[in-house]
Amino acid sequence: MQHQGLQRIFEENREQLLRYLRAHGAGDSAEDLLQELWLKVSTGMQGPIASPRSYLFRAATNLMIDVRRSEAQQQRREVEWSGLTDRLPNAPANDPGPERELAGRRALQAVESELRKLPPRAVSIFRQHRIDGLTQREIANAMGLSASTIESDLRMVYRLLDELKRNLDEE
Amino acid sequence: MTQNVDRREAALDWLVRTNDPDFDAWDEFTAWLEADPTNADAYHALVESEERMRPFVEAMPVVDVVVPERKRPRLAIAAGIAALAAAATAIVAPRMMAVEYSTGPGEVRIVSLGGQDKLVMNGSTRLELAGFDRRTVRLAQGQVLLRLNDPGQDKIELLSGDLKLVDVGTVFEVARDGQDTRVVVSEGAVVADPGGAGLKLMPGQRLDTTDGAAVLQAGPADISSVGSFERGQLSYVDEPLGNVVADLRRSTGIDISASTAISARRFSGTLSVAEVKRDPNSLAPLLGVSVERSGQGWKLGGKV
Repeated sequence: MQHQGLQRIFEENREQLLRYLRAHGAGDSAEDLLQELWLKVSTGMQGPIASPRSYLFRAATNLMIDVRRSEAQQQRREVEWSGLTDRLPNAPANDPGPERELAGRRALQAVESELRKLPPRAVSIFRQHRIDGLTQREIANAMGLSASTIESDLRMVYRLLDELKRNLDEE
Repeated sequence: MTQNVDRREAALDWLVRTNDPDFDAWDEFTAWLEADPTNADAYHALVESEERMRPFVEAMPVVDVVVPERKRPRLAIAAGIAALAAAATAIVAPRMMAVEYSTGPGEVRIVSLGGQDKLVMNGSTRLELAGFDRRTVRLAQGQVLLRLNDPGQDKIELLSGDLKLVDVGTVFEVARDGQDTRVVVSEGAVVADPGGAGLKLMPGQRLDTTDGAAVLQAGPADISSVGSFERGQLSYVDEPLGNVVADLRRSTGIDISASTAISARRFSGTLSVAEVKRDPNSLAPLLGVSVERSGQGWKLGGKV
């Protein structure tokens, strides 16, 4: 897929992409964000793209995730995420002081013990999908599982991660 | 509140779908987002949770997952038949097909039996769900816990060798090793051999039997032991060591065996699956046996 080819697909899907950005809450910035999207995809393109339309919508999704994240960061007080993630092995050291360190370690232990309750298969599927980037179909074929099993395992992990994050937010 | 929960469930479905690199139903996704502005909020809340918490899953120690064997070709054929057959057959046939489930050593798997009814499989377990709506469980080997709390569902029938069990709204556990079956009930009741002996097992009762047995007799049981494998704990009151060792093999995935001399000895207490996995030698003081390496596995022995 050449640059011009992608531009054609982009123009063809202009209205749908705008709708998509608005559906994600882009509001009045939708037109600006569409421009930003084109800049991103046209400069970030590396090699041929298998399905250009999906590529554009995927990029639009990531853009909206970034936009909403920075909005949310401005709006609310951040929980001490850094204090928590720095307790992970290999994380860059960041000394938060003894009290916060203790609270952070407790919270980390609680998270770890909840995660350990997940079935190993679900953890393995989640890692292959979200960390190694394999598609659900590739995992299903490799593990000899049905598509719906893969889906329900992923759902289980996403749900738990959401619950754990909510619990941390409340602390 | 219910609406929020529904919205979150729908958002979970969409997150699972859209996170797949193969996803391409963008127009359908747009329509869902447009249907209600708070749909996007629910979706992005989950996106953020996953992004924030993913490092913790990355940091978890990697566990080898044994790929469960399944009859894939058979399912493929069922789908093929359904596609070719008339509409009515297409709806009924897939539900009538028996489906096989199995777990590798140390793997725990939850299978839905429809509604809120659930079946939890311990490791090294093989079973088949058969009959209309798959409410017949044929336990070939291993251990299962049944949580049957859904009043709207039909009875579950469980077959272990020649023993048939029928639930009366209940929680119970069944283990099958070789020809032996062990049933322990913690809630409700179970009828064993409903067409013959019709033995009713109440909470706190157990049945130990073997294929071909002429008499079924209930005995007392420790309710807290039911389904303890699901929590990574194995609790026993006066249990033959042979059964304890079979449970340990299933739950840890480690090849642990006991010499015939000590198999009939009895054990009361609680074992932590994680602890035994970490160090099988820890069994020695707990069970009062000797523990020795034997090839790939561990052998328990001791004086009679």
